[in-house]
Amino acid sequence: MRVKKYVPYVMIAIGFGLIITGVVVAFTQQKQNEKIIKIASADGVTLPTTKKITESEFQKYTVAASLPRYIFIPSINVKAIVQSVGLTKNNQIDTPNSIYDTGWFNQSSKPGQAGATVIDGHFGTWQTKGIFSGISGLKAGTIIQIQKGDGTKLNYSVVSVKTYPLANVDMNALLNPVNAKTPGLNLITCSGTVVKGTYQYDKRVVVFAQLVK
Amino acid sequence: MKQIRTGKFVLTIVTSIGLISSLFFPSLAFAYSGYGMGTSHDPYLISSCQELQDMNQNLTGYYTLVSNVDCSGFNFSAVGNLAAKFSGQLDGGSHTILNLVPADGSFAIGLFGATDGAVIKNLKLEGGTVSISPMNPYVGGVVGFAQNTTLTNVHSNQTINSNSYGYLGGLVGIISNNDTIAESSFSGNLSGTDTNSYTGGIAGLIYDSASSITNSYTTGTIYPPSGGHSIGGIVGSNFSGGSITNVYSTVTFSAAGINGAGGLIGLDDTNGGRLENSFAAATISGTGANVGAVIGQRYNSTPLVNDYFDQSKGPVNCVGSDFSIIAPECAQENYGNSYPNFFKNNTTNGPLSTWDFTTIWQQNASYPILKNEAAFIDPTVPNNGDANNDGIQDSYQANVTTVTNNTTGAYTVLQSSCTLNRFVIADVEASGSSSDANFDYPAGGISFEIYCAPGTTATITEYFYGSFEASKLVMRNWDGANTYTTIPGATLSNITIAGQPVLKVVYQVTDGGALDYLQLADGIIDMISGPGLNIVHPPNTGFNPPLNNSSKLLEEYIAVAFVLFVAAEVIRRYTR
Repeated sequence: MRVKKYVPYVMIAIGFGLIITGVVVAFTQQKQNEKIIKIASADGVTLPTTKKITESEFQKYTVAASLPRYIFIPSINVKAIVQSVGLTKNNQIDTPNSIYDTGWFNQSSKPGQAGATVIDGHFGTWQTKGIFSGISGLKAGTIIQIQKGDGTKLNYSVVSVKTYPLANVDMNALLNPVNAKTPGLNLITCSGTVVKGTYQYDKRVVVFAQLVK
Repeated sequence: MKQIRTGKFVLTIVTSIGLISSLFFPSLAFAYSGYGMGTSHDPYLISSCQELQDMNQNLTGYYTLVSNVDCSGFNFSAVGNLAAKFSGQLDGGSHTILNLVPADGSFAIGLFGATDGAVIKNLKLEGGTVSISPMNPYVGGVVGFAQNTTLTNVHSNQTINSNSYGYLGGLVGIISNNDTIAESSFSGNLSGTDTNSYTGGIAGLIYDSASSITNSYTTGTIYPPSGGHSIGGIVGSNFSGGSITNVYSTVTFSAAGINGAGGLIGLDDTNGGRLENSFAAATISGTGANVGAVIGQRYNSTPLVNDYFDQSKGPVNCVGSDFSIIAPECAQENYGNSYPNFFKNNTTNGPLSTWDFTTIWQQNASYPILKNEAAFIDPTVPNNGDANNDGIQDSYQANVTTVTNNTTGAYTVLQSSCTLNRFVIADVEASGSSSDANFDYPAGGISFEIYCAPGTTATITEYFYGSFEASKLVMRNWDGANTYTTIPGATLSNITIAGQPVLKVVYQVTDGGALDYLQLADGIIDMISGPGLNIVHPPNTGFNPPLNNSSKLLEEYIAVAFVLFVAAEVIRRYTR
């Protein structure tokens, strides 16, 4: 087969076209990123890192005796430190620094105490799954273990898993124990897809668990 | 964290201080022990029998009942007397004074002994048996002796037993001069033993021509003194030409031995007065002198206009003894019970056909009733005054209080399982440091004090009129400092009452428990609470930095271009 002489030049032209297009698209997207990041910054949201702490750092991590230190969910390979998080200036529950860490909402109950202990964790980033990316698949009866700062280990059993549209998350349910008479543990993370033009996913998954003796 | 905002509950600092001070210092050194300044804009607020009694401290003040008041066991002295008459205003606020028993022996006896220029309105007296000894001539359920006084929307269901000569009335003993009674009623029992007395369901006697009784009615029973005179379902005697319009009576009494007894007026000794658009269905038994279905004795030229009576209830004559030269327009109906349906939902037979059934009267299964009867207490309270829909008008129940919500403008009802509610205020959340950081209060909040046996665990039921999504709310309690807690076990639900959406909240609180303001098992539970909307938002646990991986995209484009370049070079060499 004889190839036209101009074909390589067309391909080179296309290649340059792709590079130019890539630069333009990348530049545009970068601007979009900067815009969204700017929105997030304005909302007081700190971007999580994708840095994983070392085993040594994990072992050295400490918190007050009554607060949650670690969370373990062996069935989905969750083994993470628990940071204390409050509210952003938009009254949104804050998130941990790293996608591999978890955050205990410091206005929720301490582990083992009446009420619900609320812990959040990241769903993930563009390329990397976060610590709670798998909690939507937890089944009823799955054990979640919380270790407190004093070393006490508390086991919670999953009761249910619910997915809510972002605008309709049942905050009363999230902030209260699934069983009013038993200390609860409620985990939350994102799910769904990113809402265009925002930094938010369009859904939230909540795992409701209760203390088992 | 949260900026100052409007539309939130918790009492204002002033109110809180007032509440706290009232808790610790119920009898401060003021003449009046309750809230308020006693002015028309800031009336004294009455929520206890002591505060009711304190009206004697200021006979010109303005007063408002803020809850029902139970005077059981309270040694009450009539407010004002013939020497120092009450000339202020009392607005019952559609509440009820229960079991009031004014002390005997003060000559003029009632809630008010004597009034001059007073205004009394929106009030009901319920229960209590008043016993009067001889030489106490002016006795009424509300006022003993009245002049220049107005009673509007005032109702009594008391029992008054008098052994005195004089003037005995269900509402007023004697209407002496320029008094007005409107939209009022008596439905209790009156009894007298002194033959020298005037007895009437509304008043014992109207003394002057400038006074009037309108749009009012009486039921209940009168027990006149044997051998007495001037007994009437509305007034014992209309002495000097008072005007009586749009009234009716269904009282029961025996006219045996009575001289001058009528279903509406015992003795009409007037010249220029008027009895118009009224009917008598008084059950009159026994034989006396000058007994008529409507008027016992009529003198001079008092017109009777568009009146009628139910003959089946007693006398066959409208007027027992008529000395007037003007024939009465007084129709006898249902003779011998031959036409009992005459009155039922009937607006076509005369004189009913000439009455005002648009604004004054309304049809009824039996006799016509006054339009204001159905909503005598507070026509604006939902469900005809029964805002909690328990079948009883709220104002009649000391443990059910309906107030206007200062946040929503609609009504909020507090129902407790205790005996008495006080200080019920549905308010907005205060701004500043005392606001609940993570909650909004779209339905406002409610503060109250309830009385129970010490240590009681009470059930509190609250009804917030308006559209509030129960599933998004929790019941919050404020401890009086800056701590808010969610009330455990509180249930919130959306219901409909009389077609209106209502948020219903039920929870329990123990006297002396954690939710009780002072945490004292003293028989008094104080609370400040409200349905809170959690304004904490879910976390953003999916942030994706960067959302669009621009550098990766560029790398991919460059990679494809590189492949093209390599391919182009290969082709170019191949085709050379």
